[in-house]
Amino acid sequence: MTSLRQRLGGVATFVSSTAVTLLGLAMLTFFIGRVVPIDPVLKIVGDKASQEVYDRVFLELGLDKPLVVQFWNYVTSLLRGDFGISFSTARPVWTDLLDFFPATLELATIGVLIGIVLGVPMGVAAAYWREKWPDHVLRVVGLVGYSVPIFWLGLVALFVFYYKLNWVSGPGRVDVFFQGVVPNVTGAILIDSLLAGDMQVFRNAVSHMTLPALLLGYYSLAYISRMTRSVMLEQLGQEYILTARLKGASEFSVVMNHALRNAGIQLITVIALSYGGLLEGSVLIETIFSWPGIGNYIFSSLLAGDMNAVLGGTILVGTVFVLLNTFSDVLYRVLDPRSRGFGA
Amino acid sequence: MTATPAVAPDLRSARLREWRSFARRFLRNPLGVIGLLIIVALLLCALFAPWLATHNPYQTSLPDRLSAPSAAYWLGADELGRDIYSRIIYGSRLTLLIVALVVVTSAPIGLIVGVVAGNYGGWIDRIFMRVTDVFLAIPKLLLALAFVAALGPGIVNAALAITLTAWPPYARLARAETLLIRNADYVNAVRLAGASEWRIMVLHIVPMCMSSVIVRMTFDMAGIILTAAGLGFIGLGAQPPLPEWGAMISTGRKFIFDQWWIATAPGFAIFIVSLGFNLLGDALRDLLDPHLRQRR
Amino acid sequence: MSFLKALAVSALALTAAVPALAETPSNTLVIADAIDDIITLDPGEVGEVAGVLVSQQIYQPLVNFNPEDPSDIVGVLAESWTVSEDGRTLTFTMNPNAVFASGNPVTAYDAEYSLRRVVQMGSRTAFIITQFGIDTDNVEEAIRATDANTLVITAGDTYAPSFLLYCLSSYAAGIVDSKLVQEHEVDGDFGNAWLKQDNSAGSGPYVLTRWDPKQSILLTRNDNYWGEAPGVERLFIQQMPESATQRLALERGDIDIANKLGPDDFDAIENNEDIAILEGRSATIYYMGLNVRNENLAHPEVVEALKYLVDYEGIADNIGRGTLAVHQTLVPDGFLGALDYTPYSLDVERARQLLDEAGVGPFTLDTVVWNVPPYTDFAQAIQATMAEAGVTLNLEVVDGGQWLDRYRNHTLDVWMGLWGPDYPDPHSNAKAFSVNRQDAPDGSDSLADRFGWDAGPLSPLAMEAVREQDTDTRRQMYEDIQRVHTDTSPFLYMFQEVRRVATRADVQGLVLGLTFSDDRYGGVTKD
Repeated sequence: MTSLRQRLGGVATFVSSTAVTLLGLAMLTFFIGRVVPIDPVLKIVGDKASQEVYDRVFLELGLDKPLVVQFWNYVTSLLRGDFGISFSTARPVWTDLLDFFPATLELATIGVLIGIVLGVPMGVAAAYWREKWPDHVLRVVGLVGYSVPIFWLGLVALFVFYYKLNWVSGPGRVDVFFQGVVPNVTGAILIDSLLAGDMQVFRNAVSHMTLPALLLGYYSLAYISRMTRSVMLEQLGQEYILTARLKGASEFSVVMNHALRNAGIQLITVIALSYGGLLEGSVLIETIFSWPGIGNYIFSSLLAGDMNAVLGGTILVGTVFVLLNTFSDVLYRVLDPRSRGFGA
Repeated sequence: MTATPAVAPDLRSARLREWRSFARRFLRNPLGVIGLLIIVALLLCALFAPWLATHNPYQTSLPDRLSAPSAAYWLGADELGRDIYSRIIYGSRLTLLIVALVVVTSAPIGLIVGVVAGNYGGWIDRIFMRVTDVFLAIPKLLLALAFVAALGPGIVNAALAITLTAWPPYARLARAETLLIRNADYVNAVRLAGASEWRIMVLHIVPMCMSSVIVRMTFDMAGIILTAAGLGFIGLGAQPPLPEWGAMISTGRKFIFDQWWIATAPGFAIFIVSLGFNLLGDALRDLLDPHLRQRR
Repeated sequence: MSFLKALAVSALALTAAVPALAETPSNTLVIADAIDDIITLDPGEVGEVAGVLVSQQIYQPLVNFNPEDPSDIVGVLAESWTVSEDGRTLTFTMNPNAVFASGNPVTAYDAEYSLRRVVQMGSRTAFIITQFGIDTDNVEEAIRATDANTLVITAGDTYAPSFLLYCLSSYAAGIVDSKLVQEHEVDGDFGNAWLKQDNSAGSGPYVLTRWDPKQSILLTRNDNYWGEAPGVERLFIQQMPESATQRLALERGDIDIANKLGPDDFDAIENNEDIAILEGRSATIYYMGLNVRNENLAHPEVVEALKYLVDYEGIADNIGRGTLAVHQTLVPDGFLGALDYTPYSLDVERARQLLDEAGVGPFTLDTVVWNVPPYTDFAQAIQATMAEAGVTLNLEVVDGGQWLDRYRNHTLDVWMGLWGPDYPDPHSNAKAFSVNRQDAPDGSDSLADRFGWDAGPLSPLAMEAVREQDTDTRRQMYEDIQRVHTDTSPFLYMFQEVRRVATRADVQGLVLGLTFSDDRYGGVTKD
């Protein structure tokens, strides 16, 4: 066992390596922002502005300074939460992101919950009945999940369940005339409508969320169940399982109390990774379902050539992604009794 | 297969035997065989597209715009009256092109980074691996999206963007293999004989990394195809009139409620092909991954 | 497939949760549109289609024209006007009844402030006023309120009075409440920061209540409106860019007006009794600009050949389906001097012949296409017909920003563009397509310059036409210009847009505008 002090030292290493990763992310987005063929000045002043107006904005944006200086300014302003102005909303990108992020978070959270609730039991069953039918079902679910284009599945689902069968509501977060009915408190419409006690809005929001959440949930399920299976297989092969069985523990108790409990730590990291993946996967799903989240924001900004907004969104999602990674890593190393510190 | 008569135990026949046993084990895995068949079918489609297609994939026929599937148009016609079936057949060439472009760029980049880092160690290793980690830690699709938005749309740029996100796993893999090999006796022997480090890396280490890189590559192909289709769907991939499958779905999206067949067929094509690569990758991994081989 | 089963089960469980389809509230008009490009609602700088649409409901100009007959110019905030002998000075008498939403009366000082403001801010729409030889140096002289009721505007040169009036009817010349705006000026920004996003200060039927960028805009009835009170209390403009989504929402009664329906969606609702389809004139023209700096396009025969390589009828019938009309001259139908002149149709043989005469072999041209319909569709159709004569058209589909950027750079061979006049006077188009920079009063580049074309005698002729005081002579001049222009210029006019807007059948009184998007919602009622 490593001492607590060593562990804390390890955490510090992790923090610094995360910082380096985030700096790398900033460097990449800066680089992308610089090579993009869209003239940022033109986006602001429009096509018919005079040369003087053009030059003024050029200087205001600091485009005349050396690249290193520009990068330094870029990083320091990022740290201040200044992501620049979005050309297509004329607002600070950060304000936009705060507006759009809750919708994505809500969708991804529900997606990952679906993934956990269905995926973990499926993975456990597949590990327990290895090479039997539960294992085969899981294999098919996983293969399909890894092979089907999510945007296409979304379109097909919309066609079938919204257009043909009319079981669920279509694109958007709530019906047009339910918009702005409940006050925006948390940004998550389900919670907000419950807080306001408006069940009509709540039901409408659920019906809108069903398809995109199930689709994201499916992708999360494919990943979580596969990982649960392999983690469980490892645990079920351990000696302590045999010991438990010999002691006469019931099969249910062996699987649930012993194996699954020990697998739990690893599963947390799996779930954290899956959550990060969903935040990213929401780009295409939100586009299909006109979901007013970060993904849709990035997509529509992309179409408008609004690189500040695209890169701001990329940095936000990327940062959350990196932090989730780090968090799960740290958690794993701190909680897992077998892990031996952090070393390189 | 009958056993080969015992000839001189030279290297070639040993390799041949290994291949045969490999093939036998592979054939026992029906899913892997299905995957292989799908990929062979894809290759044949691409190769014999002019003979398989019923129409010129670029020939517009405005009066037939949005026709439903029929004897003339097996899978219907698109928004310019072009035959969807023929476009899907020709689209297989583009899919292969993207996959090939990504593979021939990302695998060598990953190999070079990984082998150099593993072989030299020290600060080179630390810098290279830190860069690799940064790329690994950033969401792939978003990175590709931002890159191709910057480079401008197009099939080559899309492939480049995917490459930029696809090379890090190869670097990790190659580094791990290199660490195992670099001090092996035969490598040290070559080194003592006075060979340069570059010569050692190119002639002795890289070839040893190839097999695990190839397995990993097969597995990645499905992901590459899906990402490329996603970029095409967003409009950042192949440009008109190229029959890229993702772009075809994007067109069909406008007509999804009334002319659902326009988006359906190319979606199926993507699904089947990436399923094929996944099945093959699964099977190859089961066969080649020593860790898994033990377990089974 | 356990997934599908799970999906079906949860979906079934939810059917109970889906509320019965409701109608939109009767006091609210819900309009679906693409509003994600709006960056400002300040009338001094607004320019995006949907932004103009919104600001037109909030701000009013001095004069306006009847969309049914653009030659009929009527007073709005101005009651009457006179033109001086030399045609340079216009004197407006303000409408004494007009008041702002704030309750302040609309005076000539407000008009003076608003029009000067556009010039002084130097925004992208300032050219609409500055093209009369009015600039920051002389604006205090040129735009002057002599008392609360009288505004005098003096142009730098003689122009056709209708031309000046049209420009004053434009979205850039909306009058703001100067008292209110001046209170919110910060660092000499003319109140721009205040007006841009969260506030309005107009005299029109609606006021701005809330704008969530890229999502929705809510306008509320102006209780102090001095005209006939609007029929609905609120206008709610919802971001809904996809045509198919708009159509479904309209069919289900989720929205009242669908502004961005595609041709195919009109087919699907043609016979729906709950839905009415309005047709309006649009002055938007779709054209191709050929860059004559390209060695192949430098041959006049090649330019002419390309004019024979577009399937005008086929595209209008099959892709446009009632939203595109073949139009091959520079002045749009409905404007002074408009001409029915369509000499070109698809003729691959003729084109081959012309290419042979020019002595050029098969060649390749680069173009960029905006990634919205109908461009992507007709661009590909053109690509296919040009290929038949050995001309390869390389299409690159890009977003609107890059599309504009590339054309500004003058490096493209072919530009597939649209042109919407900024005001309903033929000069807007004549200036853009035929006046070279040496003849332009402000020395600015026109489209002709961008494509490297010397318009020769057409250029001074167009400037002469805008100064002509006699309307009949002026009409004749534009007709002459157009014939020559269509035959010899490197501009390939193809279509004029026919605006179609679908509404729920109970929506009455919507007036479709003419330029850009000046649809008028003030008189709309819902039963």
